[in-house]
Amino acid sequence: MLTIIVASTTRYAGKTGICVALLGELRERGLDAGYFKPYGTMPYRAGDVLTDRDAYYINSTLPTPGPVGSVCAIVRSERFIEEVLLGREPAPAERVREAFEIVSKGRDVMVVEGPSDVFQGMAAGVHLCAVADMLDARVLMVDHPEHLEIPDSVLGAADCLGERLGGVVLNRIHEARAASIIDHVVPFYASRKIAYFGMLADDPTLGSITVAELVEELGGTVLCAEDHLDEPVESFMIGAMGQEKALRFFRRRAHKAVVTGGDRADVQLAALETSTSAIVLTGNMPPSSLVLARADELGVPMVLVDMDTLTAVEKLEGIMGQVRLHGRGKADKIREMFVAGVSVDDLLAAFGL
Amino acid sequence: MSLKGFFDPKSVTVIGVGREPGGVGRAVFDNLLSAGFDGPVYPVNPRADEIAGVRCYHSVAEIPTVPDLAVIALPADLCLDAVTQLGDVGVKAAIVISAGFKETGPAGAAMERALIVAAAERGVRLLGPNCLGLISTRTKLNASFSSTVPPAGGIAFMSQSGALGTAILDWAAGAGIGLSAFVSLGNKADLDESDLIQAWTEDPDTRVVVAYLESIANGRRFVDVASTLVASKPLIVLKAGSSDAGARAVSSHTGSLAGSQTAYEAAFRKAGIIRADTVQDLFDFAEGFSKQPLPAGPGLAILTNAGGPAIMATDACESLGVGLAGLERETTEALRAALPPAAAVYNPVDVLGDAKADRYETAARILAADPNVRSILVILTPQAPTQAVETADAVAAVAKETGLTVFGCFMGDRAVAAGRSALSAAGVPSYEFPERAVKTLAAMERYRAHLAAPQPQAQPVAADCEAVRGIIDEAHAARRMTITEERAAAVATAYGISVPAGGLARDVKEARLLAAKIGFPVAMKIASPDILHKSDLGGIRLGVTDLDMVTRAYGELVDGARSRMPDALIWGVTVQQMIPAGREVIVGINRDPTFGPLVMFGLGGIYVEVMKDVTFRMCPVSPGEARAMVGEVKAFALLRGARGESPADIDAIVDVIVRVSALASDLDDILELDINPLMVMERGGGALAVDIRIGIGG
Repeated sequence: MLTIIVASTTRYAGKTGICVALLGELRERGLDAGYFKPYGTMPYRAGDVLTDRDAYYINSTLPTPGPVGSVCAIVRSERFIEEVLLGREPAPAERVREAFEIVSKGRDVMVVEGPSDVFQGMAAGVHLCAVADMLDARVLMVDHPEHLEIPDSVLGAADCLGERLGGVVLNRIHEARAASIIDHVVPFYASRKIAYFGMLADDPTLGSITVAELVEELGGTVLCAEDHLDEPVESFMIGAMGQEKALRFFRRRAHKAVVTGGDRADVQLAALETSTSAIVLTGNMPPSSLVLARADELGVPMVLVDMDTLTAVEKLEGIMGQVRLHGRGKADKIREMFVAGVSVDDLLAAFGL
Repeated sequence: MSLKGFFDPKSVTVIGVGREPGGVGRAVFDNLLSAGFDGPVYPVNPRADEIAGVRCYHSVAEIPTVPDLAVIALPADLCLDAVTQLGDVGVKAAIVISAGFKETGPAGAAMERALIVAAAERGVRLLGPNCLGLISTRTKLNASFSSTVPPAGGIAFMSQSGALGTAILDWAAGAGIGLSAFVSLGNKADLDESDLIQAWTEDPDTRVVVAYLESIANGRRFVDVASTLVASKPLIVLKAGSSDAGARAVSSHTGSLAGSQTAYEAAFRKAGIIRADTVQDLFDFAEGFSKQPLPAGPGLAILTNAGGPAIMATDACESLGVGLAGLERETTEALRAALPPAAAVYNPVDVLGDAKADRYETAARILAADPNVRSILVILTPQAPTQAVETADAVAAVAKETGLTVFGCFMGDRAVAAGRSALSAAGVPSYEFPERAVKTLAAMERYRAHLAAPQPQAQPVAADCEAVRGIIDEAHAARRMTITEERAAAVATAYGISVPAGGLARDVKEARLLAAKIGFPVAMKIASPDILHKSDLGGIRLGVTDLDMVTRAYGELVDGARSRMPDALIWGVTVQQMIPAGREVIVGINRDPTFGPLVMFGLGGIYVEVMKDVTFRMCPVSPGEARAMVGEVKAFALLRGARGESPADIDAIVDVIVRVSALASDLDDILELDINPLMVMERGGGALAVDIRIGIGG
């Protein structure tokens, strides 16, 4: 059995998506591929079992899912944090090893979703290098360079992983940077003997959440267009200006949520003139019934929340960075992008497949 | 489209007439009877056999003939059935007075949509819902729940506010202002302002159209129908919601954007609509336009018995652009001969405080004979010898005989009340204060000038529209909301707008290659969709003369941008041919949701936002309109050549404005566009679009 750890240099690099795509590709090549996550950071209760939200979801999409209790070995719950800090957490590494044994049983290949950087899990002894050694796995690094910079994080990972680094995939690359990366960064990797398998473009749809998810996160009440809660929200904008400026401002982004006061009918209507997926009304101020009727007609949900604009924006900022692949459409999309941008055969060959 | 069924029905049915007075349906029914409508009126009420002595029908189907007009005053949830039944028996015009539709929220809006669908399927036109109804004075039709009926006259009035409508009806009745029709628009589910403008264009009884509007449904159609109307009769519009706070109120009151002031101004200008800023303007203009002929040209004579008010009138003339008539020598001599020695015989003509009616009349007749005088403002203040009524009669007589535009301004209250009434009765508008009279005259002069001016005809522009379509599609495919700088230059070129040679360099190597290809010196600018004001961030290097400088400038530009705006997305650096210094102007596009693309012109460069020296027109613009735009900004003096400078290539600016306007008209996806600066050379040298930003949507 072969084990591939998909790790990243930073949060929100998109490794969950790469795992999903990789699992799909392995399956297509007739391999029985399993999924495992040693260290989950999104506690989620599936019945009595404490697991990780993404891990639970990805496992559930496998043709033969692994046992839910073992798919994520360690969940960074409040209790776990406390135990680790008190030095009482019993043998986390052992738990990883045992869970992996259960989940990987009978599989041809395992895709292991690793930590979001090389240090995560250090205190519990389940950081990237330790896990790679423990599982005798090689690592696929997913890098999301914020700027055209020297890829220090990848070099750092290469330094500590040594031979266990299988190579790099770049993710969420803006079209403006792609050419420069190919011209400058890729040759640099080659000069450092780091295998590069390709890149995936930045696609705002993948970072989107649905209006329903937004409503859930903000604890809001949907006032109209209840049949449009599946629409994607890719970003949000705050509406606090006059109508003329609002229109110019809102035209700059598509599929957005607009956060404004319920009494700002002008801002709400300006938002409705542009590509808007939802309007969040703060301060528990209901909108004018005419505006509500217009939003309903256009199929744009208006969501009433009782928090103020600042709080709503802080909450939205918290949820917008994470890419959630829940939902078939997004998984298909990232697989498509993976196949288009990455030399999958070279990658698999490099990992011995 | 004829709205004959609404204004000239042979028979009317009212659905929802109560047996006892008090309800809205009953009020409409009573109003129909008391206003003297001479056709049959059929009340419908399933539980009444007779109402106010008139046979009542239990359903629409029972009515012996097909009524031309139906008025529905039922609870909102019963209106759909009523419209369906009316449509099924062949009624073609219906007024839905009932409230409880769009204005109450999504459920009401759904009912309103169902109502429109049912009506449209049966060929029924709808006025309302949520309206006061309609009055047509010629047919003595009061199909409204306002009991006040104004006298018959030449003003057709529509109001998006029912309450303001009743106030205006009351005013008209009190002031003896005659209306041809009054329409309360309500929610404008079907019939809107454009439909009425179209109907009143053809109506021989209507001489002036007056509207109070909060929003306009279809801006382009509105401008088209308004332009047609304005060619034969004036259209006076009070558009509420001009401030930010007012706009917010309009938004929540009507559920539509109040719209940008700039767009409304451009649209009104295009159609030749007279804009009233206040309800007072609306009344004043309505009275002036309906009672007096348009002045034959500029040339106002002020005739007064007091110096102060005449000075105020003169100040108002100056600020509103009303030209005072220069009097002929014969006129001043005749005045001198006829008036006391202390009288002022130059314009304003002061007949002195002791003037009685005969002195006013003499002076007015002398002034009217002067070929330079096209209008007369008669100011009267009450002095001991003043004869207000007699003066009014004399002034009215002169007005009638000469056909000049004559206004009265009898200042005061009780002492001049009878005089004012006499003026009003004789068809001479009378204003309490001179400024109001002058403002009305200014509006009339503008309208005359609009009628006299040739109608602008936008010329087709030869352009590669397909190429631009391709560039936009490509940007859509990449999910961009803006066109990249490089592609924006290609868009400009496709529309025949000259751009400097150059392109985008994504790294130093490309920058060096580009610079060498273009030839030195070059200009280099940071390319980032996030950096709107490049010069603020030190993002521009001019006069780069060799390859070493290119290398250095590239690094400095990118480093500078990164350190000042760490989150900005940087595409690279634009390398452009260095162009000679010219005069910097801006040409832009902003697409208004109501009126479509507006083209902007003004002084360009980095001070645009400070100086705000810009002007707008609705697209497409003709070369004549473009030239007028160039001429009306303050910076025109600079373009024409100030203090010995040679003039700029104004023809080239006009050409760019016309081309940009054509581009925006051809491609709906272009929401915003800024060419800033457009570098204008000396006359004959052309103009180059140095920096172009294009925002897209759709």
